Amino acid sequence: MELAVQQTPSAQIIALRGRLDTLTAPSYEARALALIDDGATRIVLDLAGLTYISSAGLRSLIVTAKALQQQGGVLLLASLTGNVRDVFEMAGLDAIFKTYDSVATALDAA
Amino acid sequence: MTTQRLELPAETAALPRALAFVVAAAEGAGLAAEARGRLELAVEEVFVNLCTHAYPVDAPGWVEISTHHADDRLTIEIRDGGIPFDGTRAPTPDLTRPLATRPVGGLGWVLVRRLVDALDYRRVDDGNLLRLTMRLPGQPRR
Repeated sequence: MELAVQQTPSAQIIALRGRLDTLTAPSYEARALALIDDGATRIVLDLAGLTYISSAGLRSLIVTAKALQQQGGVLLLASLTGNVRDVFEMAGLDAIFKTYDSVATALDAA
Repeated sequence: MTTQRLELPAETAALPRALAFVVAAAEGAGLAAEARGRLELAVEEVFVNLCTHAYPVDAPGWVEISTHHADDRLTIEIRDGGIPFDGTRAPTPDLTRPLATRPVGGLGWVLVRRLVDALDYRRVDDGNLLRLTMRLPGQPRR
């Protein structure tokens, strides 16, 4: 997994590429929670480059979304594609996350 | 029937080898990319679960994965020597709860049950045997 953080005036954008699974989810979670500790309240996850997600990855999304919600913030998911979207819906996460077609539309909402 | 076997330590560090073995069998059996992805994810969930729960923390055990390619299906058998556990009967968390009260875990077995075409558990010889089956695309008639 590759992770890149970009700061914009309204949100932090975290771009994830590759696999968010048992072996990589802890490093995403640690990085996102550190941003929240530093005061981030709006995080957009750019998932355009994500090719694989397992329950460990889904768990890390829920953990970071809960942490943001407790600070009055929100986690916005952009550009879910293919099997990542399929798994996301299979696990019922579409009921608790807002998803956006692109980072730009997520930022408009933020 | 073509059968291959791989024995691994029941440790998450061995996950990439487990997945590579199963993906190679799926490619060899002609499983389409989408179904291969579903099978790979199901195997990750089962493998990680048993690495975490099947054996005592201070006494890690083994996992044996075998692949069985028949005309119309690919079956993956995953055996371990750990405590009895039937994931096919693991409870499904309430997927309608809002974020604030949604449990963070428990999704692995929800996925496994939805990803594969058939799932079967047996307790055999003091071990667990889980069988994941994927249907193969139709063969042309001769």
